[in-house]
Amino acid sequence: MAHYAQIDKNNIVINVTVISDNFTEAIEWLTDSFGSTWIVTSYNTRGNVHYNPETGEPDDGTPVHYNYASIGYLWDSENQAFYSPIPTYPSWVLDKSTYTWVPPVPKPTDWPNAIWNEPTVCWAKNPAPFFSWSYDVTTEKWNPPLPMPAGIKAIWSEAKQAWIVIPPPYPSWTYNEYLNAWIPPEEAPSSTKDNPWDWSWDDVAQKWYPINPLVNND
Amino acid sequence: MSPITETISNASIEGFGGFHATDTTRPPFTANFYLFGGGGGGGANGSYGGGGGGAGGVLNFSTTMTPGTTYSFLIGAGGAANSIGANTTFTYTGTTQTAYGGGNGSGSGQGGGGASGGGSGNNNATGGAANYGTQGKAGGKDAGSDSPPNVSCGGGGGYSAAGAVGTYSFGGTGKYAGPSYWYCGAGGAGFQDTITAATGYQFSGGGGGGYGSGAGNSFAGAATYGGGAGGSGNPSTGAAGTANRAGGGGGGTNGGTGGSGAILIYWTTTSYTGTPSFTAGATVQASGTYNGNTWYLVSTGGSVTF
Repeated sequence: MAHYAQIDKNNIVINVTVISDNFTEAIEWLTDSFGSTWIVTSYNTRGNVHYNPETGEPDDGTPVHYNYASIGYLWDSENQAFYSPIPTYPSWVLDKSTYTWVPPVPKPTDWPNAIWNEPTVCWAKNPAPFFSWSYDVTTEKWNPPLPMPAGIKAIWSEAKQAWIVIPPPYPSWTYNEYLNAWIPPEEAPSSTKDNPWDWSWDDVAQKWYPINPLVNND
Repeated sequence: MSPITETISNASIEGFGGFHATDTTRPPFTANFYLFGGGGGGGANGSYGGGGGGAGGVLNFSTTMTPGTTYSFLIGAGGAANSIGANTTFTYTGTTQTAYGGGNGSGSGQGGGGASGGGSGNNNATGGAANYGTQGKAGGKDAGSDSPPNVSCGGGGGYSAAGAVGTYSFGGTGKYAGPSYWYCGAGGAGFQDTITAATGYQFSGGGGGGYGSGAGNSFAGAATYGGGAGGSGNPSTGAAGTANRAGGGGGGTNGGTGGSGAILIYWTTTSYTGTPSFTAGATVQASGTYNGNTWYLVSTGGSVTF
């Protein structure tokens, strides 16, 4: 399949259509039948790089007019380029070597999961855990709208915009902020082949006691 | 001198066909159409996962075709990332019927796939509010007198939200996708009725979205043929519309390109027994007969002469 973009007198793409590869007179037919100007565009071109349609990886194919056109795109007739008129983010600028919008700060190469954070005009190391959280550039962490309650396990409710407190399973357990979990006074014994028990905490006796033996297939 | 025998009974001016005459041995007949618009592109660069693109709109109509006349049509291409899909059109006797392309998925922290444009709708409305957790609106299908109203295709899903499910649609229903609640988008629903089912294709499946959802964990307009895009299997690029049948693009950091549209034409086998000639770039993807109907599925733009 070949793709053709129709542009109006203001060099705005108003339609993009699909025609058989075998039809060599497509532009003439489109112009005669539907008027205005038609320009070939490529499904496989992004940022002036040609991508293999099967693998999605760059290949040695010839890029066509910098980017695949879509409705609303602009046509730079001087440089023969299609590009989106809308910046990806307001702070991004148009790079005319690729006719794509690029950030004012390059993405850190050692932050593979980095996400652009427009409010701080910088890259966040990881995506936000919740929509309402804000990014702290100094600590490189996302912060909730309300501080997390100290010394107690809680989970953030985005719908309620509040922390929901999770009470400890037993009064003697303490909260570990690093693990965000309740921790018993002593670690539970490990269940092994020779010690096939599940364990339950006795808060009065302050010790673990065995309950149902685990299934031993031997 | 013997009288001149008149074999031409009708003549008219066609919008794109020019002057033509009707052979009385091949009378006009009623053809039925399904026009499928191009799928919307998936949302890209969203901090919360780009929304899936909306499925292309579906237009169902019937009109009279005149043998010996040439009709022109365009197949709408799928939209690039963050872009709406293009329209699919069919022109006859000065009238142009349009199935609008699907709306784009959005990024920039805004989940929500695009609404799919129906015959009486448009493709300008991006589904899903400017927030997370909202789904793309279901697009309208132009409902002819023989069709139930409110038949629609689903919009793409967004941040933790499934795509809208259209009436008379199947497959591609949005589904919770991610390993974590904030890593998901979903696909819009597809469209099918008895005649489109007979083609073996599914039309207008929505695209899957979602940043960071692992391969196999994001769901799309799943279909053997012509469904929507696969969900983004990695955090960088959403999958493009598969099989190029009006599916929306997947979301993801870079978004995915929507699948292109198609046209399905069918008529009762006895009303027209000739073989239509598809020219000027048109590609017949498949054809056949079903329940007394002859059908042709066309995947690229061009002309048809009956």
